[in-house]
Amino acid sequence: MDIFTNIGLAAPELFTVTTMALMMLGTFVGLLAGAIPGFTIAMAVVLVLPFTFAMSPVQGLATMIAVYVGGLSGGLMSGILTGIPGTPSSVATTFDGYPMAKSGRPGLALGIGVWSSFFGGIIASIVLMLIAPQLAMIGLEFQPVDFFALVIFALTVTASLAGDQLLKGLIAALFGLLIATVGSDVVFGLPRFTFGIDEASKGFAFLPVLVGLFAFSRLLNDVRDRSASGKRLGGDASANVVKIDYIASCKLVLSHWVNVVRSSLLGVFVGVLPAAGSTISNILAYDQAKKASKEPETFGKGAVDGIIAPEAANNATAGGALIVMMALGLPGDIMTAIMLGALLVHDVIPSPSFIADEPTIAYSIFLAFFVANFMMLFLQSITLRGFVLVTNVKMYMLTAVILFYCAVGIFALNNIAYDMWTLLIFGVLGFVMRALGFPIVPIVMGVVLGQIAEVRLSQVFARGDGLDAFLTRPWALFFILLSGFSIMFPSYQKYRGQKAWAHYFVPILLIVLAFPVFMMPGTIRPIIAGLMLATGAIRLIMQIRSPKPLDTPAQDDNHTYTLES
Amino acid sequence: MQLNRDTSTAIVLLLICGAMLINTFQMPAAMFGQMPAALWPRLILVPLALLSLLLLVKAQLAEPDDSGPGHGFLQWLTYYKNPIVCFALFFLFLVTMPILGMLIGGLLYVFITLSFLGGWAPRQMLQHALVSIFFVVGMWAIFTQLLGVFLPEGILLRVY
Repeated sequence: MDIFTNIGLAAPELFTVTTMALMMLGTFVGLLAGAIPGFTIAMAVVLVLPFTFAMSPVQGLATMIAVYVGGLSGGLMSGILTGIPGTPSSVATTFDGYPMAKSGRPGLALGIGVWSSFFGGIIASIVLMLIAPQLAMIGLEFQPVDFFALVIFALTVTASLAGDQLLKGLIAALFGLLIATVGSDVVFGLPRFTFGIDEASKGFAFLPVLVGLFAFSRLLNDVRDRSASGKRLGGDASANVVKIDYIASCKLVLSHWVNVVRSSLLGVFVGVLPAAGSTISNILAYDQAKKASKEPETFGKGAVDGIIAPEAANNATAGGALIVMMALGLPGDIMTAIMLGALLVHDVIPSPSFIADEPTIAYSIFLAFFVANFMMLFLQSITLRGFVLVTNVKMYMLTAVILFYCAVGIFALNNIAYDMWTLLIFGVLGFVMRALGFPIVPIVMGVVLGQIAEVRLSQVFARGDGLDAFLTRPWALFFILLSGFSIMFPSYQKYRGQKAWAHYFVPILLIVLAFPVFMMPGTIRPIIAGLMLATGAIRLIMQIRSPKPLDTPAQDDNHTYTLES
Repeated sequence: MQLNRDTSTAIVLLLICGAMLINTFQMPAAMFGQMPAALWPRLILVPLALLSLLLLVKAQLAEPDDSGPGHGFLQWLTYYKNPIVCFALFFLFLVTMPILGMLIGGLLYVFITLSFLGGWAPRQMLQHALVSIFFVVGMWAIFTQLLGVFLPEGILLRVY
């Protein structure tokens, strides 16, 4: 079936009054959550999850996507008007948004932010609809050994994003995998690591672990300092009544369409990478916009491109993360991990055949992402002032109420008290790990991907594939090689321009990866491999013949991008 | 030997790895060419132990770090007082749930947590009481009445 037939099948499911009302409510909740500094989008999605249990899969997922899209956009309001980003995904928006607002043009700054978010989301949803089915077709080529290698790659990327703390990132990822082994083994179903505790034989339900590690520990971390917890979230800054000039700002954004498209595609690309979410994409897009600008000196002083780039990129990242989840059944970040949990609650199991087997649900998700961007645009324009007032809430009030909501929501999952104990245990564990300097995201990804990895490994054994399959299967080899490079990536990022070996990193990466791509079937991929090999070889030869000079250590634009822990 | 935060972490991780690795030897052997139950945990535990060892070595080579809560137990307790009390209150909330239920237990939990974090002045307590009633009763009503979810009612509410 072609794309339009599938959209035709999904549209009647999605465009019902109830689903639209739920999505509108979800977008509102997302915008509200995004506007509150310190309240992450993941927390908002987690809190909404229990409410979706009583809904149909399409309604539930559409609501969660609406929260996600709303949350990504909500952060710009407090960021531009108060200088305090509502979410980490809007950090770069404040670099130019706040100066523009302070210089007497808050309406224009907000308008640019809102329209950039909208166009970023729309571009990403088009890419999502076009790419995800194609990627799923590639995913159908994957055998268990390839999936196992992909999981290893996802974990190494997640750990490497811990930046200087690579060692702790790797330990955290392995620790997450270890947590997932508690319960029953996937082959025989026998108890494992239960140490005589009967309840532990069921293992730990995925969502209580996720909420405990991520939301619970984060909230308590925020109230550690008594004076800070008693302050208003938006600080003392106050936002005046602002009127957005939609027409002028839309024209301005469209006149910078190259930046919009570039930042959106960059956002999608970052979203596709495991664990590299909007926290990274907004800063990366800002950095690229500054480098590409004819007036880089205006950045930081209210540059239009400085608002467009991060806002287009952070909304587009959601589309990229959804591509991987829909096409391969693997979560790319915390948000899609929660959505994966929601799909499983509704007995829908994402896999490479998911889009073909469940076109109604799959295309409903695509459409929901598209529609949610329009809802975000509409709601943001009418509720702006109210959202900024939300920043007057005190942190400790939010914490106490949300901790209770977490407990109720987690209990509602399976109606057993054991899940609430799991929440507490992993809340404590997450808090301790944070305090010890371990990034939380690799642990969560380890827990989520642990069982998938074990199932795939057991299938490798059952099929009688030897270890040589990791070298002879092109996709497995591709991901294993990428894993190796991803572990070295933090060092490359740190020493780029400062150490001679860093100049050889990209050419060698291209040459090495060309080999597994060359082994792949068809004609297009070997041609791509040839191009990779040629590009890598040319760059390598050029580097050897005329080595690039090394930079001085202090460089302004040599950013490192790390995971928000 | 330098006893810093990472050293203690690495030692605890090594002990966990050791205990779990020993436990894997009690798992059943492989049958019919299937993957042994102990293989996957060992594939995780061995690199985890090696990385923990590396962390231990790095911690020993690192410069002493004076940031953070300090070395004394009382200093540590003061530094983490808020989260510790919040965890303890959540623990009590769970322990007393069979008696108080989600509604009464939730009201008490939210009110006490708010007052502990925000202050015990009469005006603040009134504000906290209103916030607790609005959000806890509201959430309880949404779940039980609207979504049809059964929440623990507790012995107290069951009696009356």
